[in-house]
Amino acid sequence: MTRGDKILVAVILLLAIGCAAALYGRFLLLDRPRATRAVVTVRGKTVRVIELPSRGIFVLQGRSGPAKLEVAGMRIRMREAHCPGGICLRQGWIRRAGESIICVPGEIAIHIEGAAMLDAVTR
Amino acid sequence: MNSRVLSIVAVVFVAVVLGAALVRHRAPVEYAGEEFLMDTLVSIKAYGSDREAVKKGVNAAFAEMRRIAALADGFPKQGSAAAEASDVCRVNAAAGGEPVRVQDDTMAILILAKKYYEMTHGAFDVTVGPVMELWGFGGKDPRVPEPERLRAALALVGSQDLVLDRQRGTAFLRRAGMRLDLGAVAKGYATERALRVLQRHGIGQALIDAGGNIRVLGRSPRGGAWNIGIKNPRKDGGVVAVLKLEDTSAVTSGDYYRYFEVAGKRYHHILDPRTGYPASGSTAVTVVTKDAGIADILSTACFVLPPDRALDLAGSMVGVDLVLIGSDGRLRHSPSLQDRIDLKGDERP
Repeated sequence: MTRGDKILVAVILLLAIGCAAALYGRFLLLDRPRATRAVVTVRGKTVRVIELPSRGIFVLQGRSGPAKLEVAGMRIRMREAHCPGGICLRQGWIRRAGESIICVPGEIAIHIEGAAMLDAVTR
Repeated sequence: MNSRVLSIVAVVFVAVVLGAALVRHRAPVEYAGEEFLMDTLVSIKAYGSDREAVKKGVNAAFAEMRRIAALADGFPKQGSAAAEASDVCRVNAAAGGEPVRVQDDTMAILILAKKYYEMTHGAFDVTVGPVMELWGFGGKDPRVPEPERLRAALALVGSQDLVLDRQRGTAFLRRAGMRLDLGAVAKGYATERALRVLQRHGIGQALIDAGGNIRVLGRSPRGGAWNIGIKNPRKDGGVVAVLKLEDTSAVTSGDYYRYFEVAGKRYHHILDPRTGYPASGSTAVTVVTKDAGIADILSTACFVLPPDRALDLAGSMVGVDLVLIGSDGRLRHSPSLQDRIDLKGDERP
């Protein structure tokens, strides 16, 4: 094998490794949520996906009546809800991927999803 | 370049690229579902190579949880089909009268509950129903009960009068007016049963989140441990620590969701069955142990016990770890958690 052949072999091998890494890495990236977002479900159905950061007040129709969701930058909270106990209001602001706000009477769930997330929060 | 070398290089090229594709092919697919059950949101994420098979397993796990929920439901409408299906309702209705035949799962829950009642000297007691009812947590109008009424309700609490006959499969509350409340055990038990169903469907990686009661199966699909945060009891949207867990459960009892205030004093829903008043030693207690049913029971029991005694109890049990935040804000944990806990110093309560 000439010196030129050796260089060619090395280039081809590097190319193969590069292709493999790109292929694997691309799939890995596709598997993960790329940005942080809040996913809102009512009675098990996704009714809104809010890309974060964002700002505003969103009105939802829960099982126990209307509810207001407030988004301020990367944070999100239940601002108003018509449910006994008001447990969803007490959950306050959430901002970390993996955190959730749950309103049982309204059957509303808000999950923050994103990269580098916690898998879940025990509470 | 001769043709032999060229062939080798071509084979290596194809092998490396195919290898990467194969690794991708073997990466697990996720199926996730959620459902409002047992007064909370239950979500299940499971992983496997065949999406349809995983979906079938998750659906079966939810069916199992619904079945347990129906047995343990303490508050269906009287005379309804749900009341008829609820072992708890039937046992409560027959209190002071006669033993009631119950399903095997109800018996298993009650045996477990009675065992921990004895082990904790009454800090955990499923016959706390009459006192819980008096406080009215979960309803529109929770209130501090009058001392006389509280004393009368407390007289009806005590699992020494819960009689279980394993041979006949019956449960009996000796005194009229006694009431079972499985709120501190049924969710954990159902979670563990759901996990077994997932396993029977060949699923080796899953996460069940039953309103913050967490049970993980196997390792995270990223590889390695699952990252489970512990909520900061005194701060919105914060965690005080992250647990690195594999094939175990983490269940928390805290004073921060179900409570009301009178004259600036907080009254939360985790009652000491011996006094009838909210327990006051801790703000949050997380129990890490394999069985989610036992974790559920112990998180309540350890919340009710004074912090030192709770840590001693966990220390005396094999495979039980504790993270406890006292009412003074001090965080303590079992020494054996050292390698599996990442404390977030900037987010202390």
